[in-house]
Amino acid sequence: MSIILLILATICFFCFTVLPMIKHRVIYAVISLLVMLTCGSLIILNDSFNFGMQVETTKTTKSLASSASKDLDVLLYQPLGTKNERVYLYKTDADAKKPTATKTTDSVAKYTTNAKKATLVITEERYVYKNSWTKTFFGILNNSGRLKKRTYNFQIPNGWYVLSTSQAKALQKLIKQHKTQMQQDIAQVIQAELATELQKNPTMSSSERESLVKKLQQKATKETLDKLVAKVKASKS
Amino acid sequence: METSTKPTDTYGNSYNRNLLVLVLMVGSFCTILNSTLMNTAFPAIMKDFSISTASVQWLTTGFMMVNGVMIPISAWLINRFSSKVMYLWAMSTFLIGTLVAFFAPNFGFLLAGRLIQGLGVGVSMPLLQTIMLSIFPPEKRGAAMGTVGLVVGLAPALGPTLSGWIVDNWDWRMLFLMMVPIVVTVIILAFFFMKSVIPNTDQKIDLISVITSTIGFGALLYGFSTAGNDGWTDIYVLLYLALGVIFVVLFGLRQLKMDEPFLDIRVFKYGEFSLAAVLSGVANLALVGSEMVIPLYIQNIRGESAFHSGLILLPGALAMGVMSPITGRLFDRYGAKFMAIAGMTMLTLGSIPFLFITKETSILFVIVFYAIRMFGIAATMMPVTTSGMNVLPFNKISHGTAVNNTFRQVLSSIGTAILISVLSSVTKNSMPSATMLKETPLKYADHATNAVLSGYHAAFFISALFAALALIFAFFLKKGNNAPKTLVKEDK
Repeated sequence: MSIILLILATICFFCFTVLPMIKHRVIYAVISLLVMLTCGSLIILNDSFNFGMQVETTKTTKSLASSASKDLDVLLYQPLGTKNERVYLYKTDADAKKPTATKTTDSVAKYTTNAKKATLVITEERYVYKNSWTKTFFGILNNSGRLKKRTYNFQIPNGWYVLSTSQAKALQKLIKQHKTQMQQDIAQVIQAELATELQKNPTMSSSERESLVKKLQQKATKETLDKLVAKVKASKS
Repeated sequence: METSTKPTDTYGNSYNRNLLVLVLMVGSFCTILNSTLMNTAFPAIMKDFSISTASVQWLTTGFMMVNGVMIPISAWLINRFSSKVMYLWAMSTFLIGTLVAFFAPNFGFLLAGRLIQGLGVGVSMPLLQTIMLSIFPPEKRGAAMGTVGLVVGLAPALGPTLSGWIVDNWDWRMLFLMMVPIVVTVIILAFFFMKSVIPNTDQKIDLISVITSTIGFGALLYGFSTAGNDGWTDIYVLLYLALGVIFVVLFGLRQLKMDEPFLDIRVFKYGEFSLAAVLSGVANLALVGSEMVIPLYIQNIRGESAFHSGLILLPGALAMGVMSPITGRLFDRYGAKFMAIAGMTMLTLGSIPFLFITKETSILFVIVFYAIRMFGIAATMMPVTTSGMNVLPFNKISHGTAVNNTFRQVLSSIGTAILISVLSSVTKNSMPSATMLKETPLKYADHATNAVLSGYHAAFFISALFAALALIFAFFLKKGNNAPKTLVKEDK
């Protein structure tokens, strides 16, 4: 609408200014000029300053899978610059071959810990036409749905690690190197803990015992991993 | 375009004017198309010959310079030799240049080919205008010049689109090869249909004038084209500009002294002619500026290909092509004044929106406002030039054309230089610091985009300012058509 009106007003303005045989052409020329000016200003206001638009917020929640291997819960990021700008690499599907990178234009990404389940919440604020009037008038510009701001919020449980891509590589290497050592350490810890637990509760059933071992194993593995991760993080930057 | 009496050439033989115009138009279209054909192919040529951006730029800069140097000389050439000979000469030179460029084994040959092309184009453009002004009666010059506007306006605008398409699909050599069959046909047809239509004199060539004008305009054009990049305080820029000014002044003084000037600059004594030269020059500035900056915006900020940027500008070019013959006819009836006022208003109003473009501006926004600008230019440039020519006596047309074109060329090279330097200095000043690039590259990229945008905004501000200035000048034009021996109804 706005564009068509603008073009018509421009043509009218030209005709009324140039063709001398039309009566009262000055008045018509001024009117067309005013229409031109109004349309032009409204288009600029709309397209450059979001006049006639409103912000529509959409929230999408996705479950998050580990960015790296399935047995280690990791959220990867690619660090940029020396002041710690990050592009996160995430998977919402554990079977996906490659992780997705967070978009960077008009976007912020952050993570919060302590979540019950690993989820990614993407909040998008987009400009859409305020009402059917502005839609009819500016719709021809096809500028609805422009992004104002996008927020990535990675909510991860406590067991997760947030690692840069180089840290993740270093960690992988360390795990490989210390595999037997780790297993031994873990086994030792489990045995020692199991012994103390058995002393406290000598009448433990075998199923109780099994679950305890599992718990201990998880705990011990995490502790060992924590140590390695701390080492990796300390060594890099 | 039928007239009661059949047109005759300088030997008194009648000829077919429509065929002559057709041959003239097609040939000139090819030559003028070449002024904007190369830029899109630069990346490919740089790769082929492994040369730098600075060297490859010469394909355009050198071409424009040779072209610009030829124009002042063209007045003498056109008066001295028959228009048939000149046209054949111009087209053949152009053909040779094209062939040299097509077969170029290295960059040197390619550049040589382009410079030879420039020699031909430098003659064909003023020749086109002079012939068109001469073979139609004064009261029909507007329509004739409208047709010229169609060629002069549409060809440079089509260049980038066409060459983008060709380079995407074939090879840059194709840009030259495709010209060959058309130009050969034009030359063959010109043998039959081109006539000697401009009365000749056997004025001797004045070598001092040739030398001073070549050095003067050459140095001036070169100085301005480097000023945009190297800055106005660069010692070489200043040196070239000073050299240019000195020789142009020497050239001018000599012309004023001569009884039969080589290039008659006394045409400036006609007020309407001077006003027209300034007005069309400033309008041309606004045109050249936007044709330079909008593709930069579309390609650098929006990341579109050269071909797409050409497509985005195409509706504007078509608007100009469609309007040019119409405004020409309207000029014949009603004169240039109100058309120029309307046109310059449109140009000014069409420029202002570009001060607000963002990285996400709707493409339709760009297309429509660009088209409004082009509409405005179509309503101004040729009608105003014609009205300037109409006050000149018949034998001064070739001089008037050469002076007008030279003036326009120099003015637009000054304007382009100002625009480029404003653009680059504003961009540079708003560029974020280098430490930011190290610390936070994402934020840097964002700020850098904004810096480039503010450079474009500044360039468009200058462009809009030029347009507004021209609008003021337009009010000083005389009412009605001032065609001599007029059959025209005066505008009351």
